[in-house]
Amino acid sequence: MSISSNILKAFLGLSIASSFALASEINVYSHRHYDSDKLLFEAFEKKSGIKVNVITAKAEELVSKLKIEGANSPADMLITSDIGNLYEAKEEHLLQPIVSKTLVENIPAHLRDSDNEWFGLTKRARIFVYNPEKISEKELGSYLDLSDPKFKGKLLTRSSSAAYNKSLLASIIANHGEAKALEFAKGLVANFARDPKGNDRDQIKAVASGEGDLAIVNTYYLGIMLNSKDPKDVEIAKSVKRFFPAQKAEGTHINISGAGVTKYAKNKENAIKLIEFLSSPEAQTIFAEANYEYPANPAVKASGTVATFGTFKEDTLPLAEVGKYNKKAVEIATKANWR
Amino acid sequence: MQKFKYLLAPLLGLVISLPIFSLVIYFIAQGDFSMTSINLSELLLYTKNTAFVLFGTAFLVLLLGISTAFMSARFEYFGSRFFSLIFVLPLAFPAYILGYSYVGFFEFHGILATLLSQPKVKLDILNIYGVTTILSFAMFPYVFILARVSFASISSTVVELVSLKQLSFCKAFFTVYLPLAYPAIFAGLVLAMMEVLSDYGTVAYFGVDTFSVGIFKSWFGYGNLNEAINLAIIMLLMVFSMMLAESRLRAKFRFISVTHSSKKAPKVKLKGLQNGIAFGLSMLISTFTLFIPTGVLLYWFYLDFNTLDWSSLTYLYRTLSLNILSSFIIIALAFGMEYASRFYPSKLGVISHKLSILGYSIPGAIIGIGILLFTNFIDQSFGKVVLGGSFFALIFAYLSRYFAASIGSVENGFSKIDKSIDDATIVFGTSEWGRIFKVYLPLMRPYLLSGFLILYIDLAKELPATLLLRPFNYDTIAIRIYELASNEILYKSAFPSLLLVLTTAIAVLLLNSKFVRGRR
Repeated sequence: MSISSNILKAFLGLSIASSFALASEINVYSHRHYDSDKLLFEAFEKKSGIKVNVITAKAEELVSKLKIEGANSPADMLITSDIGNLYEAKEEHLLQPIVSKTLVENIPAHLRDSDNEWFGLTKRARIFVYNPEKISEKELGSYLDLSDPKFKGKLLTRSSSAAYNKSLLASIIANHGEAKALEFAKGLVANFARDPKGNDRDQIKAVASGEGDLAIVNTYYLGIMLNSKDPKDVEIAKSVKRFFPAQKAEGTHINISGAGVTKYAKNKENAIKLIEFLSSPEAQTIFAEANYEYPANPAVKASGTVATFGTFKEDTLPLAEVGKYNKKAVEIATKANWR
Repeated sequence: MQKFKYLLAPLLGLVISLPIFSLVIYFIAQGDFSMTSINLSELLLYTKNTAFVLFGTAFLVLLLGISTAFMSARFEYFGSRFFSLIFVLPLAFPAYILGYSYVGFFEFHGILATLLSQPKVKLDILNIYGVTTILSFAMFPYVFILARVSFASISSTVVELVSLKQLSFCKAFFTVYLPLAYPAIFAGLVLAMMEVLSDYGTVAYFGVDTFSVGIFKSWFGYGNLNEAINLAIIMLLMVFSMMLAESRLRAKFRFISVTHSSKKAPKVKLKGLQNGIAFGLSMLISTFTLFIPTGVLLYWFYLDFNTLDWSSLTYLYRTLSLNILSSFIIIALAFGMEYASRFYPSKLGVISHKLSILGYSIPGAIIGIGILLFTNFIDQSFGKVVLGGSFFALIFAYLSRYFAASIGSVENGFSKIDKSIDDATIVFGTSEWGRIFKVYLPLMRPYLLSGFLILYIDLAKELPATLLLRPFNYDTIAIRIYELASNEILYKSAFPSLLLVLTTAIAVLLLNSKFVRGRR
């Protein structure tokens, strides 16, 4: 045994080990910050033997980071909790098309990109929460109706820079045109009970406290409050009523969490495997149970608390359209003085 | 060699401000100086709000910081030792957590309402006054920590002079004690102000549009990172010119430095009514700045107790190991820079000194982008990933952003060392290293420790740069708190927040202990 053959062996061993390490891991940039995701990644690791490495940050930051890093980026996959940034990532050529029969089968067409560069994984509906003593269900209809002067001094929502409001306004632009959207935004602002502040939970509390009568919020925050360890949260969430808007029109606006494979992914195959896993009934059930979101895979039913909200007609406008108008939405909100 | 020493301070400053230079170079290279998304009336609103929050916070921070520092440094009263620990702790709260806990306290069906059994009782603090108050609660310890060391080192000669001249307490305070502590107070105030300028989370939650909200609106709203960087650079220029103006001002008012050679004045023992007033005041301040928010967190902790997530302990371990390493590096460089500026001064050194602390005034996420631009430039020149996603990048970001947090304390310490000591060490022919280790480091110990403490706390709760730059799977406790809070499960963020406060309390105790401080 010569020394050189030993070195050769060691070198081979090392290179095999490193190529193995490369083949069996995946680097994820994720904007989702839920414990359910950690469970899902663990389940995937167990099942596939592929190690999932994660960095979480804000979606805009992750997109900027991908852009600056370019071909040097270690990321294989991007997950955001809003359509706007996924759309932006595609526009900036940071993603690549995925060929996957499983994903096309699992995710409905309006929840994925037409070029298959991103796929929706969970849905959140943007609904109304209202005080039944002040507002009757009959008065409620579509989002656009909120600009009616009869709601003067009654409406609550967080700032227009929150991704969920941005996407809602973008969907209104896509469905009804810019002029209508501006009219809506102006009417909404005129009807505000107070300046937008706080998060979704604070809006629900403000309805309960009588500061306003109706708030625009995401369904899953209601789910979180109804299952809170803080009895006051539960009491408050129970004291308000839910309304799914636009049932006689385009349907309730939904936003998605979604994922795509980055353009320079070094572990492309693994990334596709992970997204496929996340769209599977097994993973979709965990999404639905743990964070009160709606599964994107129609084969999986909403569960627990969320199921009690009832079924509803959702806006099936392709989400790419919503993404397209995201920046326009910020412009319109600014014009309408919606802070 | 001697020539090189004169370049030491400028070089250090240059390295530390590299991320800012990267931003400026990027800014120029892009050639895109337009402000298309943010209009003039918005800019005016941001400026107005920023000014209000800034000056409001400055006033309250000075009021709270100076009074607590003076009380605990000069007087002995019931609980004074306890309070000197307590006054540091609000700094351990990320400001937005302090905000959340106060909202939880005052909101409809909130904790106050429950305590009073009056569900209707609520106080809406989500406004500009609320955010100003919360930020000053979170920031006053900067002034407290730095000014306390200064007040405590007032020599007995000064006190004797005051009593010889028969000055009234007020007169003595404003004409003698306060000016003596001016560098320290100012250093603390600058930290508080810069942190207020860079805060995004708290002001956004409270619905107050400040300059940093504008920066993020460009970036997050319009996806226009260029414009966000442009705005950040405008902010930098304003802070830079303010600092230059201050140093001119300070040059006019050369304060007598208090030498370490003289004996420190003993604390005054308060009795009777004075004792009661000092205790009452301390109690009042700590109730609002610490006890109420901690109480809220303890209540949330209690609600969450059965479903507690012990993984927070892992996050804590990571935070501390990264934190202690980074703090040592930063404080050592701060000492090096101040030492070099004192013995090998140059005009370039003065400018680079000012540049090196600018990082503290712009949002951490923007500094993070500066680091990304820089590390990516290096990676690209090597043709492979060398720095990207490494701890080096993260620690560099901390250095660049938090250098200001340590330098103020170190600068203040050096200003208290009489020039005659410099001359003496040179006359006695001690070697450079000998003089650093045998003379300056020991003399600087309390100042280095307070600088270390501020760094330690700042880094433990640092969020934006860590979010952007940390290696894969390396979550810190601040990130854990952020994840839970942004999921709006506030009660779950109580446990990691309390852990953060607890480790800070331990750090303060340790740094105050004779074991670390040695005999004074």
